[in-house]
Amino acid sequence: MATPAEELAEMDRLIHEPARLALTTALTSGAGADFVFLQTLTGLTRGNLSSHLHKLERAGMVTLTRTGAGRTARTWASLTSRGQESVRRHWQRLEGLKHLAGDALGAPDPDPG
Amino acid sequence: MAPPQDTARLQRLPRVTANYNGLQGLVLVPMGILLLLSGAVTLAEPRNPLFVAGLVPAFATMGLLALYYRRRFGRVRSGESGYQSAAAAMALTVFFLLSVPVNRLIHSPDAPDTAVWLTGVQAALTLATVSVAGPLLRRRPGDLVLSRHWQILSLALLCAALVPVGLFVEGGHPLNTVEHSWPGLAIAFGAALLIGGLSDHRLLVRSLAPSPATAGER
Repeated sequence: MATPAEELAEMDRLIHEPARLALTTALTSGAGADFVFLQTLTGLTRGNLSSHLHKLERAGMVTLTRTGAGRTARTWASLTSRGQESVRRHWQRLEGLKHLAGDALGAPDPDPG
Repeated sequence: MAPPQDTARLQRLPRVTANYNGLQGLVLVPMGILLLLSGAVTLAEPRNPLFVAGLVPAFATMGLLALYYRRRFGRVRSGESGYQSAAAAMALTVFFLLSVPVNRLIHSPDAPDTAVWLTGVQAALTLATVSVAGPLLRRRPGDLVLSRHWQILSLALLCAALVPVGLFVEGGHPLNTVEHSWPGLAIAFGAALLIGGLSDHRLLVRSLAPSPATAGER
């Protein structure tokens, strides 16, 4: 069984992948978006997008619902409360890293020789 | 980690998603064109049926454009249509409240001449209400950045309307006459809908374009 630290690291990788980060960040608005919208957003093929969404669904980050039938069938994705919290924390961590990197680049070199 | 421009784009995505339905700017363009044409034709030919005759084709085109957005960009359920209606109601209230003094000044023979363009001021304040009411009602002031072009348009129109042309022309501002007030208003709204709608669409297309990082995966 994974330790909490390992779980956290796994969760970060799950969200940090570029396409999944774009998907989950867009859904933090609280809105539900259909498959076509998410495909436009990411530029992924149907198969790839479906795979990413199912990974997020399995991790409990995203809820997928299907409406209509035949030509009007649509898949909607929305972020769960757990997903909202994870994405919020992930962005906080990214912002923290950005500031750390900025400080490191701005600081004078301790060993110029 | 994503490059800074990608990070900024990613952080804008929730705003664009939340406001997706309001950013479908091409939907406004047919009404903008109709108002512009109708206003221009009415200046030359005061009694013409262009606006009334153009309403049905304009609404039909707007419906087709809404369908285009669904097919091309997909759909978003933001649950915020109530706020959009409330913002529209606020703008209509501002428009009709301003209509009372504006009409009195334009139509009353005893009213003093006015140096500024009254219906231009009315249009500018109505547009400004639309551009700020939605985000403020939803308590998402950060979304005001997405309607910045509408705020700039409102300000530009207000500045143009407040130029005291009437000081240099006998009888007040030339657009404050009974025959020129409607075409002036139609041109102001038409130009704003056309420019604002195209800007909304441009913003939406740029924001929804996949980043190289995600598009590269395909």
